Amino acid sequence: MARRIIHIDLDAFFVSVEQVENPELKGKPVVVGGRPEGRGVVASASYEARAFGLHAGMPLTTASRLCPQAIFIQGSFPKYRDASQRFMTILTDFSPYLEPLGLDEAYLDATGFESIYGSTHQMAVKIKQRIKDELGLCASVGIAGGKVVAKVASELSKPDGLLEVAAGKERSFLAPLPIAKLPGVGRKTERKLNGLGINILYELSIMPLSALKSHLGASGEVLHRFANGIDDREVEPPATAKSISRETTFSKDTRDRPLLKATLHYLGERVGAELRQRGKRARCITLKLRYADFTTITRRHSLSQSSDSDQTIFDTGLGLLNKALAEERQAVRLIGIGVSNLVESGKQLDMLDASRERQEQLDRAIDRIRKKYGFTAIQTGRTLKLKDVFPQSDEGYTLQTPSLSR
Amino acid sequence: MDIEKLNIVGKRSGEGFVAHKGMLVNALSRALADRVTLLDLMIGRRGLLGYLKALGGSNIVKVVPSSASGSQTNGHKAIKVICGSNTSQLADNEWIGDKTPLTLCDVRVSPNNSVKPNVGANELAEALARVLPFTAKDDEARPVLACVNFIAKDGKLTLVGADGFRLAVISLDYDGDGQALISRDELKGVVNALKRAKRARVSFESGGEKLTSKSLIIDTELIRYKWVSYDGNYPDYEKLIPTEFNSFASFDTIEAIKAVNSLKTLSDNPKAYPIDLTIGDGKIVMANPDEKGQTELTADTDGQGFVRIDGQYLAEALRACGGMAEFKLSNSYNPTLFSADGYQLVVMPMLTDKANEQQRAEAKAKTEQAETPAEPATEKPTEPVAEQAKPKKAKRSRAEGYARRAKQPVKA
Repeated sequence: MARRIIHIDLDAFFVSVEQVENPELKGKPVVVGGRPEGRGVVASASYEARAFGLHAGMPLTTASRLCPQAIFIQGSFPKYRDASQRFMTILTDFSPYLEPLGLDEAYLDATGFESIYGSTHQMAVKIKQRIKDELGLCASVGIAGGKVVAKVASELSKPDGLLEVAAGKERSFLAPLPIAKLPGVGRKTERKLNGLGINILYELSIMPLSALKSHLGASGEVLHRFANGIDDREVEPPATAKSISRETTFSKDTRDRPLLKATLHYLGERVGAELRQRGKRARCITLKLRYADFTTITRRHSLSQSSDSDQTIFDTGLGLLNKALAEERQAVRLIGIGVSNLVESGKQLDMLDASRERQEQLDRAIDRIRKKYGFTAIQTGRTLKLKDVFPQSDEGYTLQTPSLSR
Repeated sequence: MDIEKLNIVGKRSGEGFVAHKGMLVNALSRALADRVTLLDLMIGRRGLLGYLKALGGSNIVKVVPSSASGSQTNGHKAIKVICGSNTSQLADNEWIGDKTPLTLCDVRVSPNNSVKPNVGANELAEALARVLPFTAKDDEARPVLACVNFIAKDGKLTLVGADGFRLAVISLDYDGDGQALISRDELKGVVNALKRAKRARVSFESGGEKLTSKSLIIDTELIRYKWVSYDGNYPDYEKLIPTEFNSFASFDTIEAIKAVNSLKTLSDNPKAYPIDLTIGDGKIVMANPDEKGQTELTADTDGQGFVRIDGQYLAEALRACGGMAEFKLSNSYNPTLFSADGYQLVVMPMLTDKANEQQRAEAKAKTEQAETPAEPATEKPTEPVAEQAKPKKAKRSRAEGYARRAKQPVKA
């Protein structure tokens, strides 16, 4: 039986969610990302805004210059997360073989489901319809024998389209497309390939493998296979996370130690809460700093014993921050903290210090309160300073990029 | 650490000295400091050591101050080293760079140098090696745990190291009293130096910068090491060593280390791999909690027990014990005890669901017991109750009996 893979991508996801909530935004150039005068980037732009050259990742100031009439929305990550969860729930109703890719797209293995829905095409139509009915969102769908061709097909079918590539026709489907359409070909690779005289995927597919490997290394072989429509990668459930991190960019570069400490504490609390929610403990704490001149550093510290305590995460992070700031006197643009080397819960008992036990009990009690009444319902004194800096909601502080602020 | 002193047997020669080259090389190679003060000059230890090693011609070295007008030293202070036909001028700060740590050792030359040993140098080195790994590496909240506690009393010198999760205790025969807390970082190099020493003498000294200051001195035939004690309150280690046990096992640590290594290989994370230990029926069963692997070791056992221990802690405990070791535990959540030949190592277990249940059940039983109305005072306790109330020391003595029997020679 020939494999049938469906790739579903929600069109302009963040903007569409906003438009569902506020129908007046429909048909207008809308940008989600923040205030136009802010230092953030466009997280999502409506198709009307894209007509002005706006795209995700573009600085908001540039977006505002290109399309002054655009409506700029801060956005809300929890709202998008909820919509994404409902989107994934719909997909799991159709096939248990689901591989989410971020919030707004997923692969679905539809092999063998033809007997239930008539055909893979009909299955895709039903998926699109349910998404439209239940979420009010438009989805673009690509169907093919492999993941990479399905993704290219859904991309080509945007917006609100459905494109099926017949089994065995993958190579000919890809052949006339520009190389940039192939997932895995970024700007650098594109430039390299253009330099070799390769502009379309057909040229890439007939390029001798050895020559491609000598220019692109191991990725050359992968791209060669993809260009020939060969992709036997399985649709796999998401792997368990190997690390958890949170970071934020300040609206202005800062040297304000209390603000840095307060932000670090808050981010550490968010990391700790997720760690405990996943039932994991971490052995490595990493601090990330980006200075005003965009130099980015990471400093890490391995704990002698794994921990999921907010206090340990913060104390370790603060130690790293103090050391880093002693070495570099520039203002800080971005601060982040993360945990890695995650281990299953299994706490090492302490011989002398009962305070760790108490601290962990306190963390759990705070988690319960926050689950019931919201993240900001209970706060440590150290993070109170953030009240004057970031807007607050039940979900916590809304940091620099609200649409991505978990 | 105070200035380390190299005690070299030699003769004064004018303002300098004459000494045996081999002895000087030996002392310099054992020293921990990076800079040597020699005739009021500071010289890089490693450089001087390498230079002396390279010198040929004679076994005798003469070191004298060099004349200040020497052209090779541009009029600066220098020393002249004469060895057979080799003569060299060493300037102040020779072989010292910006990154050379500021740790000093002083060279002292005297006609004789006798150290009256009061501990075996090798025994002391081994004791330190068995305690140092269990001191805390980076516990900023409890810096005292980054020290080894030396306690001399009741004819014993006891060395204690703890990191909050483990506690190692070892005693050596010693006459004298004293106590000092010495940082693990300062003691690291001493283990190797002591292994090479022929004689060692441990002493404690009061006074120093503060009236309450105490120092630990270790004299070897070549070097005197002196450390000022850290000022802090060390936990009462004797209270932390468990005394009541429900299960016991005596086993070969070499085989156990192999078993731990095999389970480490099977674990998902070689840096954090808990190991479940089940004792009973003449064997110890070691297993990965995710049931990926299991190994059985033959052991003398008494009672049944289960505990989960961090794999790295277990491996280090087994290595520190060496040979045949005894392992005792009371339940899944209380401290466990490894012991071998006067060496005791307490290791805290990891909390498991099983341990949690056990803990809760015992707490509940205690609460129920407390809530039960008191029996009339006149009524004598019934036999089973009296049995239950007995401390479980009896089992421990039985366990020790096993150990004693194991040590007895087999009769023909």
